[in-house]
Amino acid sequence: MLTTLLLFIPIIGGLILTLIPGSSATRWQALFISAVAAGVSVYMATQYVPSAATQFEIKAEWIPTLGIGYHVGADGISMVLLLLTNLLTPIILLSTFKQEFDHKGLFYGLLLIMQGSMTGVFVSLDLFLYYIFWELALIPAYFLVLLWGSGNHRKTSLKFFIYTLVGSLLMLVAIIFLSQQWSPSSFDVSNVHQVNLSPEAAIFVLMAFMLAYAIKIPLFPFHTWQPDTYTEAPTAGTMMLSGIMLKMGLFSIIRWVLPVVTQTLAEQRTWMIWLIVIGIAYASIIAIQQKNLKRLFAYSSIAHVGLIAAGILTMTPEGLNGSMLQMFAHGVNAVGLFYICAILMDRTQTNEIAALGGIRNLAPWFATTYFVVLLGSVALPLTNGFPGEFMLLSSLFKYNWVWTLVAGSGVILGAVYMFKSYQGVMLGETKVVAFPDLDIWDKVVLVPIVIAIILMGIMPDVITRIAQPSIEHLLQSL
Amino acid sequence: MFIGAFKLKKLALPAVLLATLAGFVANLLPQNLHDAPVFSGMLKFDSFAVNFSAVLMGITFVILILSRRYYRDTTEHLGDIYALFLFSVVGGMIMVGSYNLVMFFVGLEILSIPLYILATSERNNLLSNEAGLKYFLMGSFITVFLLLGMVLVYGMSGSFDFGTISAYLSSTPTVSALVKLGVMLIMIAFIFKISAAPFHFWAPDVYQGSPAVIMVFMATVAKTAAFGGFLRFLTQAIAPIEDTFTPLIAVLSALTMTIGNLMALNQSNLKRLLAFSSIANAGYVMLALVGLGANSSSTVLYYMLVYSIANVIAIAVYLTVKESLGSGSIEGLKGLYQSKPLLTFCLVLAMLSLAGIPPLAGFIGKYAIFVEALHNGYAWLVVLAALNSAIGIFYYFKVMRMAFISSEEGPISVPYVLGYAAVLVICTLALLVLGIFPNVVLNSL
Repeated sequence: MLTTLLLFIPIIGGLILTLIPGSSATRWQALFISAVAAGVSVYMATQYVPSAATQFEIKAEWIPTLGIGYHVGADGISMVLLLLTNLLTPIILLSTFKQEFDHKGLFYGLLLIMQGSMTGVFVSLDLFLYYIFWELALIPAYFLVLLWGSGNHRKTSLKFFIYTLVGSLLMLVAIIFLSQQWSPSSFDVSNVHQVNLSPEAAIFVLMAFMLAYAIKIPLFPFHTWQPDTYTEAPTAGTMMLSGIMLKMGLFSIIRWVLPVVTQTLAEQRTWMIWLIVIGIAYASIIAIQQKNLKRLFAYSSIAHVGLIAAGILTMTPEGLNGSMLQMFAHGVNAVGLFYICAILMDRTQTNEIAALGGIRNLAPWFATTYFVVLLGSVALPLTNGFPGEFMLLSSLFKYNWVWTLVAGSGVILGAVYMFKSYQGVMLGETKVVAFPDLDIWDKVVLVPIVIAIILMGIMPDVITRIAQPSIEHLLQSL
Repeated sequence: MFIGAFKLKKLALPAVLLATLAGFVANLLPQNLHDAPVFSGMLKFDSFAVNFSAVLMGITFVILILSRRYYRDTTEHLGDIYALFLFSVVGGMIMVGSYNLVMFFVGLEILSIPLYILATSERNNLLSNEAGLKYFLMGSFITVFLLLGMVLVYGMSGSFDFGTISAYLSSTPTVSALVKLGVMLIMIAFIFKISAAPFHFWAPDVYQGSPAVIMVFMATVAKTAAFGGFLRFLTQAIAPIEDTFTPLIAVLSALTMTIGNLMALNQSNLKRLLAFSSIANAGYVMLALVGLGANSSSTVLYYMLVYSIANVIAIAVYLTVKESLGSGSIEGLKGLYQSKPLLTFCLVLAMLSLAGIPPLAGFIGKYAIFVEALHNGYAWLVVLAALNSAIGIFYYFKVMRMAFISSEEGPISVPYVLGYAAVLVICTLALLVLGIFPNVVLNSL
């Protein structure tokens, strides 16, 4: 019941909001709906018994003719992502409170539908249901970029949509194929996880799934939609995409690829990890060259999520635990970083690093919070980025030290471009005329993020405690 | 049919609607369901016929509501137009219920002839006249094929009765080429009616020229009836040799959806765009015909129902906008969102459903069709269809996006019109319900 509530409170609330014209109260209504969902997710986390079993499970028939069921539930892995989704969304909503824009009802409605459908991806235990939520999350994202984007956003939104949809359609073919392995056809997780495939079929399924996820995450070389979309989307949209939506891809690898085509993945993963670590270094090098802060953060995101994906593919406890930690940390940091972009945009009308400088003297609060988020992002010890990144690198080291070297160079380069950008924006001669410091709305967004960054750095086991039993169970069952 | 004689314009609509509703209910009564042929073996009201008839009447019902408003200035002929609608839908029901080639032919003609007249019902519009004439000439030409095919089949099997033909075909070890030729000619008539390649050329012109309510009637009711008849012919009459024609249908399906989708990409007139979209959709439905399984009929029924509803919504939105702006181009939708968010919501749902985006009903329909084809080993066709769906997104989204682009003249003022709004509410709700509970229809046959 709780899972269903968590799913449909934001979706139905969002649908209602899209239909009523926006007013000044809309943002509060949206925040309320989102906060209720956040409350439910926190309550679920407190009720959650750290064990390998799937909890809060509901199983019912939906379309029996096609073998489709409504089967939802949460294990430790999904629990972490449920918390991430539902705790971040209210913060993302808060980040838009100061802005003035058209069609508020639709805007907040779409964000809430996204929240609900991403939750759906994390709780679905039926492959078809999962696919529906996977696609449903895409539609609001498309509209957010289309209607509130900037620059060349019309073209970008369509590119983004078609790009991700082509990947998803191939995944759909693989999903149909998997369901046909059973007679009558079945999409249920218990069946899908036990499927026996011929080597060729397994390769096809692996490729179809991985392509969809590589596009969504995005992994090198399928990342070309990402920098444009992140740069041109409205800030709240970018936060949703980078903070939460890309975790759908990472999570899906754990849920729908590792247990289904284990053997084939183990045979094929070497070149995949090679591609990914090359992508990490590549994205980091490009990030150094970026002159636009938002674009720089977009590229740094490619490097960070690449490391997570590589860690998952090692199929080791360190890799998976590290990935859970890092997924949560990256979500928090991404929201922080893109909010910093939004603040700069709001006050100086530019995100070009060259046009900014010396803001630290004008806005000490801003300088401090920016610095903490930055430290989390470059994975300094005692911030949230460190434990995850450390575990991911060490999991790579067990297989091939060259991977660690290449991926580690990405981490080092990360420190270079992050500090360089900080230097350009905050230090040096003061180029901006006036820069008001954080007001109360900014603090409402940034202070929780800063606290989360530090708390998670000191006590990473808040996350690992939830996820670990499920991860161990998963690895044993492979 | 006597409504016209009384010239009671006010009473005509309720009367016709009541008649349709009464037919709808009577159709669904359990007494109506007979598995044995009735009327000397002419018709057979099995669950297939009953369900298809229900869909035909349901869609006609909403189109009738649309036409009341659409023809508000055509005072003298309104009753005739309603009567023609009803004749046509009766023809459709005979088609899906027929158990005899002759009856089938009669049904097809009763369906078509009113349509020829309806297409020209805007007498002062040249395009409408052109559409009617074109449709009439092509339609009657195709009828010749159908008759010739029937004669050939009759000549070899000795009967028009579906059961006898089927028995003859299964008892004959080598079916003569003449029968195959006959079946082929009959199939040409179907392919024409569902506007599949290579007989699709009439559709864009006729759809664009005809009055919008007639266009949507042709694209939905007539097409559903044609698919129903096609399915019935394949499953009941020529089932034993159906395999011979499967590769042909597969190739035509591939051609149809590719042509429809590619041609739709550059259309700027909404009716013409919907015409090509309807060609593309005919291609998808043919996927379900390539290998007939136990679920084929209900899959086709579901798909056609969902597709029809989406089309009716699109046309209702178009009519609402057109009434105040008078433009048939999709550019006319510009700025719609600013003034009418709810109307845009309906349009977006319809377009997303047509494009086959989950979780809308159109996706489930497409999915069920893909599974049908995959069952029968047509993986290449399914992959092609999936790629085609991706192409479809371009033009369906183009329509959708227009509504959100703010127009240069500022927000357009589009008043709600009672008739259209009622249809929009009914159809949008139906689309949502069918998407969330597809079992209502998917399990029906």
